[in-house]
Amino acid sequence: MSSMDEIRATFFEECTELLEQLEGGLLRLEAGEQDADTVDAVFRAVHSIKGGAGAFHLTDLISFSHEFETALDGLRTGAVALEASVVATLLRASDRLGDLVAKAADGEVGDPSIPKDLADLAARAASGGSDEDDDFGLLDLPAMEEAFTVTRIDIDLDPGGPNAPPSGAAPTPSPMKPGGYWEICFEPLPDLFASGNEPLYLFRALHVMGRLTPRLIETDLPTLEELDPSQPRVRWIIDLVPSAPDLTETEIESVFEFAQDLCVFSIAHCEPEDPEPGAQGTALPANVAAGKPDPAEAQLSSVAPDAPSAPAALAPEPKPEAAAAGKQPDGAAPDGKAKGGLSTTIRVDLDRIDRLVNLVGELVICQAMLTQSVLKDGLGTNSDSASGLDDLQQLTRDIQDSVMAIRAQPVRSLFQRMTRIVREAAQMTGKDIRLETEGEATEIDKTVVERLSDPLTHMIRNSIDHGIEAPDRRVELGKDRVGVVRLSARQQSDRVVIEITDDGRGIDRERVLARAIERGLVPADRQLDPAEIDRLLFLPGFSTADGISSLSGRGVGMDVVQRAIRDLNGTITTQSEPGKGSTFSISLPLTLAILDGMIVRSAQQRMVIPLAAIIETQTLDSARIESISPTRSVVMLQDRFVPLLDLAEGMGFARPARAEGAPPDEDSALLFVQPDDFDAYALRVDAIEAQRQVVIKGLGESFGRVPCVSAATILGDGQVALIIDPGGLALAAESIRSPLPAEVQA
Amino acid sequence: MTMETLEAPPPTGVPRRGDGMELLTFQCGGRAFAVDIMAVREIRSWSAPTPLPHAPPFMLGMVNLRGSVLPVMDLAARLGERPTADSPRNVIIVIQQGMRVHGLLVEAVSDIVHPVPEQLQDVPKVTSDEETSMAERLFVVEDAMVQILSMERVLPALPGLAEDALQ
Repeated sequence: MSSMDEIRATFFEECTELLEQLEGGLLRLEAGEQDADTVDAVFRAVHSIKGGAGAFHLTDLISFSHEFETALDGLRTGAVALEASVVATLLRASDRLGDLVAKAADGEVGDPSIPKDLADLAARAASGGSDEDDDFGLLDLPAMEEAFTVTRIDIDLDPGGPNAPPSGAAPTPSPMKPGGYWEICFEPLPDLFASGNEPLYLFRALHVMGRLTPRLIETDLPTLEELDPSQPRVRWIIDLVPSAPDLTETEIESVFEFAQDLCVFSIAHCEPEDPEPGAQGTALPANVAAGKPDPAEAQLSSVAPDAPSAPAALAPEPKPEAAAAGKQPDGAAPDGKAKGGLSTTIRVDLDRIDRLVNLVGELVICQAMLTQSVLKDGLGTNSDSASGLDDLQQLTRDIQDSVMAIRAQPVRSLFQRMTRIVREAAQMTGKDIRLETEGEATEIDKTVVERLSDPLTHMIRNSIDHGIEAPDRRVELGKDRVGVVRLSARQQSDRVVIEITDDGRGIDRERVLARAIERGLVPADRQLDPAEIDRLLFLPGFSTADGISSLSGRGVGMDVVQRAIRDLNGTITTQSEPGKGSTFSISLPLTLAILDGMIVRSAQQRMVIPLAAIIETQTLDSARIESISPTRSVVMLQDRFVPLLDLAEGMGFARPARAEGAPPDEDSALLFVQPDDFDAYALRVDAIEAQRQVVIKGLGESFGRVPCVSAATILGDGQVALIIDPGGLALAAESIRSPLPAEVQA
Repeated sequence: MTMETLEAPPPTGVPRRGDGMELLTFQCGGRAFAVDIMAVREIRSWSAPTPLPHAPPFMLGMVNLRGSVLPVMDLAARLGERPTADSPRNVIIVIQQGMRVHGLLVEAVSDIVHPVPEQLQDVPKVTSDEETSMAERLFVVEDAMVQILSMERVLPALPGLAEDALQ
């Protein structure tokens, strides 16, 4: 990959984050959090995409994001009011922008046309802005003006110097007289005010040393509606022409002595440059635009004329609050410019983390083997070696958790993606849907987050298409017109549970059963309880939609969803109440890398059964086994009979011939397993060897789908062992899949 | 196959590198085969594979390839011959085909050859012969014929990958 390609890849990675910020911001606006910070964050996101697109000559992206940006600018200036319809337009535009980015990432060309609603919005924004131009009369709110009046810190020390032209003035680096000057960057941190310091005194102290030309860095200033006066928001670059030529850096530093830890400042000595004509000696007041002209700057600039025109002394009464008023913390600094500090995150190639995850996995295996051999060699559990190994085990677990934490990601981005799905689905079905989310901060493995996207999309579409009634119907039923789809995530011990709930009509069990009988999935005379009927939804080839709707009926059903979840070692369950709605719960392991399993032997093969699925074990001798047909047996579990399956047979492995009537292996045991979507059943194995953590090795691209197996692992001796998927095994074994005849139920 | 091709003298001295192709030749079911050496990742000795459930007979199972799991198939069985007999001489050729990595169990690896274009022939059309269809071209040297296998054809289609995509 050439370096350009890498930069490009980084850009698209960033785009993904920016799009998430964009959508998140718009959703907050939609939810009524109409503060200026949010508008700014949204604007910045689009602006950054545009900027990056420019670097790669992605013209479609540039023109679209430009229009988008213009429209958003309208929000910032107030030319466009923040109405629901506007936000809806912007959300659609953000979807389009996402599409364009995705296309561009694939090197394709998207549909560059600008939707009319967006163009209208942009036009409104543009006209609204240009009317007032530099005046920005739309900011004439008295409160704001007041705020600006006090905001102004006029530290123009050169009487007679003209007031700065409003924004648009060339951001000239105020030039100095021959002999060089000092450039001091000064940025107060929040604590500066909290500890009673006052920038004014610092300026005064500097003023003693020579002539000051302060420049206010006023980019990313928020609008003034949401000012937090206790927070400093302004930064300055101060050019100091020393009156004494031998002024040293230390002397300047001493000015900041008491504010040393309360501000970020840097001092650099500059040689005089060729000054710009006319700028010579002109001390600009504190409003030199330092970046692109944007409304925020303009707002500040616009107060200049209102400010006292006598610039003479230092600012009239620049209280700390006043100084603070000009700038507001933009907390998260979402544009990635960690101000005055170090960035606290790094980007790491996922491969590197995966390598680490793998290594830690090997470490877990190695540690387990070592423990085993220490015990086997007769060193007691009280020996030094054994206790040392205990410590090692603890450390290994800690390392493992830490590595997993690197891969963990909040489900927020996933949930956010679903808002788009809901929006589109609602539009297509003509239903009013509100998506409620909860527990977005819940963290889960990155891969899981990614691979959940499709099943969740499908389930949400299902909920909207099949679950939630049409608005009129809802009104008739006395429900709120707007249907609610809830998406929640929470951690439950070592699993994460994600629930999709709708307040629709619930599963129509009669129809489900009728359809299943019609499809031959269940015999017509079979009596099924509601939970069994719900489970029919997950059978391959089942689809309740009478006509294939464009939304959810694409020939894939819940069986595919279930398989996708099962691939993640997850389980899915349903709950439904007619007329009230349905809940689909997905339970997922926190990590895909390691599994607690029982290592068993069957037909000379060692296999791993996930511990989570095992509900009980019995020795074969003690089990009560009844034969109900030559090929089918049942076994007593607590107070009922469950089907019995031989593991090797279920896997299709040939059993070594055994002499007729010979006693079974004395180690033989029964594992009662309960896959989420099946009844419990018993698995006969030749021996239970150990209970151990195993490292999951995905079968992935080289295998395709392997029946009955969720993954593989490598055991201590280097041999590969299969990790059994009890649900898949049950599915493969017909005898378990069909519920037991009623008469056998104890 | 024509006599003319067979008579074409193999080049002496510096081998002419036909179309730049390098082939790994090996024995399988008593016949000679070859694969493009660019597809060969490594050759490893035999180790007992762990069987896969409900797999076709040619699918032997999987082995541990330095911490990752490698599917191994018996090439002879895949070509419709009798399964390769267990022998410590057997080797597994690890083939990389796109994202897929596969092991092929063969009897023995023979040589690396650089065929010249004259030595390469298209496979004559033989109707509905499964095993002929696995060969991409033929490589004829002296009095022997080596089938150059097409890995796309040898590797079985993966069940459940394409049709399971959700969207």
